[in-house]
Amino acid sequence: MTPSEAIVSVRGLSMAYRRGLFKQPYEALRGIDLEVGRGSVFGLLGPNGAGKTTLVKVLLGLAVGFRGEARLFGERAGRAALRARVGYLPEGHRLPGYLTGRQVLELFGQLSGRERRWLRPRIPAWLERVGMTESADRKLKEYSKGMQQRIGLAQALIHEPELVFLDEPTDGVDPVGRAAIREVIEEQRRRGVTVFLNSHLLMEVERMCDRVVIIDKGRVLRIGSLEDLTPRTNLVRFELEPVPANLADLASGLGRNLAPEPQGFSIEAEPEAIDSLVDRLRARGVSIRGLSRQKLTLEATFIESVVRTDAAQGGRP
Amino acid sequence: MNRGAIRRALFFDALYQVLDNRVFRILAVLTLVLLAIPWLVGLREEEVVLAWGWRTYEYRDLLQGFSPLIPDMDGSDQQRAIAGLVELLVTNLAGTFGLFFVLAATCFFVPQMLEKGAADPLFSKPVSRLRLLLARYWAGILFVALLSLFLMGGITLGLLLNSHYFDVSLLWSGLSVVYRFSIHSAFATLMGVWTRSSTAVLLLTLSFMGFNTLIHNVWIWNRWQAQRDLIENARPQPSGASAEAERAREDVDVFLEVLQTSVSALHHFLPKVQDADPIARSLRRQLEPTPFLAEVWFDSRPRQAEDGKKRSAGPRPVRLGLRRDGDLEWRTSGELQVARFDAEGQAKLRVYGREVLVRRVGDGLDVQLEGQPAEILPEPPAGAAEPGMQRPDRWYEQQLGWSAPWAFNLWYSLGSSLAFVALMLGLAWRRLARVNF
Repeated sequence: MTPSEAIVSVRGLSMAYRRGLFKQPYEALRGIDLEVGRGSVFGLLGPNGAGKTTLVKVLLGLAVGFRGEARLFGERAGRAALRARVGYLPEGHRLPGYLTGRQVLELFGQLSGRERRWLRPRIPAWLERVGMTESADRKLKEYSKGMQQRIGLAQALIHEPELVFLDEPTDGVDPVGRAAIREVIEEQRRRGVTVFLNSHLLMEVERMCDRVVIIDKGRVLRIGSLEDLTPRTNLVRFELEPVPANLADLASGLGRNLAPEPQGFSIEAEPEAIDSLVDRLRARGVSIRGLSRQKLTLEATFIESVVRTDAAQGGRP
Repeated sequence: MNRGAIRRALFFDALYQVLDNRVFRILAVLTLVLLAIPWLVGLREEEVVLAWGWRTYEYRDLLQGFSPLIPDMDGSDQQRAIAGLVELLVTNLAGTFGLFFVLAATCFFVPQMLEKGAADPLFSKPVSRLRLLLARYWAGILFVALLSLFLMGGITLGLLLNSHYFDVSLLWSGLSVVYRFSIHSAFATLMGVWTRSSTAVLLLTLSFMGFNTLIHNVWIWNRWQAQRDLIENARPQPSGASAEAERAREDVDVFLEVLQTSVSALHHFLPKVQDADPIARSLRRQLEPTPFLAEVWFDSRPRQAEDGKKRSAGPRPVRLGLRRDGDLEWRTSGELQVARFDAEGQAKLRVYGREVLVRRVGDGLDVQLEGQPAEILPEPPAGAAEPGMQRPDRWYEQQLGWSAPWAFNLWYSLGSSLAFVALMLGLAWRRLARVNF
């Protein structure tokens, strides 16, 4: 993917804030390199204060004074006109409480450059999609957090952007709402929209993202497809009926780290050794109800990446 | 990208923000209370009618009882009473207390827009920071303009229906409230961007209002004092007094001089908010019919003598008007004087102790001062001052004019105030452009 093909392209991006009473410099980003193509769901992971939100804000022109290169759609990020093609749901947003849900969608749709005529049929459709039709004419100040989050998602997408930044989109939303939001994100991917997903719920990221970047202390720690970051391991889990008493004898010489479990056992072994183990079990008349090769979880990769970096740098501040 | 849609969105956002505001609603109710007065008190041509005929009063009784509220001006009793009513409702109540209220009601506009959580969705839209800032500024002005329109429209309609008096120029008074607010609001906008705190904005803006008023009043007082000294010094002095005055001038403290220069510099830099009402009155005068069939402004000082003897300092303008009842009317030191034409069609008056002979010539008046043609002044004379030197604020208002010297020129006043507004908004934008949300 060349930078001109990328929807988001970042090279050597650094950003320093001054904070506190004495305006101490603080480096939020330290030379980030990143490229994101069209139509993918891209996960942005990192511990608190890693620089995720700063990265998004630089791309949206909300943070100024950065060094390096940041481009959206091949043009320098921060230009107001570019933002017409972008949707954004910030974390902890406060949409105007004096407006109703319907008015919020109309306001933000128009602020994105869409005509009222264009918005008129789409507003009820979006209200329906995020499950807010019944409360559409109540003021936002009367909404619960989850309801505000749903309207927030709709305002980020109402103008049909090509790129969407969603910062903790399911924050405060009930399980039914979360499923609806996942469905909306999936639908955006099908439409060819690039979705930047920033979430601490790694299970959700694992379910929705094609590619993931893990950043910490303003640096990229890992980047790649979900398969790259969650590779299959040699750990195999057996579900047996009945569970034999002499598991250690059965598995001897075929693998390591044997761990008995209530319905069977798990073991680290090569594929050929697994075949032999299956043969031994069947020869003893044991029924194999389940057999699965385990993958490394995103959570494990995330923790491992962050902890390893911390250890290399002498711990977290 | 559709810029029209963005403009409409910003307008409706401002409107909804204003309409949802609780202080706006309270102000709307208070405005209704103010409006009830012209709807209940009928200031008719001949009498004052309460509650559509429940009671009637003579103007004489009313003007006596409410004399502090009735302005010292030319015109009929009805016109003076209505001017007093408008002064009370618009200048004193709406223009002073109302201004405090609307500042309190709008000071949160900018800080709230910049609050964490509220700024991100808004500033991530394809709208420049300058436009968003100006949209909030205009929202405040819209807030006040709506209230002023409501108030002045209601007063005008109330006067028309109940007092049978129609004067479209009253709407200028509403504009003066908007003008004053727009200046203070520009300062509040800058403070909003700097502090991002509604409470800080309100406190700083109220402090600025007080400081600004203080500086201008001190400047006016200094100028008034200087003018008075000039007139005093031009009078024949008892022997030795002149030398004493000269010594006093030489002994002026350096610190005081620096202070006076600073006050003067600040006066010219700061917005001339207190000129809003004189400007409104001046604009109203442009639309009002003159109360006289004919009028003339003349300088009541005798012309320069042939021997080159100095005239006293400053003009002494006198406005001489021919009333519809045929009498002549003028004021000296604020006192109303009236004279009649005799059978020969001329009137002999004494103005500041000098003999004045007035004749009707066609539609105009011919004025002879002590046997010589009087010096006719432009109407109203720019920078004119009566030698009686009334209160500084009254004197200052007399100096103001559209063609007055620059320090008293209303164009200068408007221009420097609007330049201050532009500076405040420019600084606010400069600061906002550097904010990291």
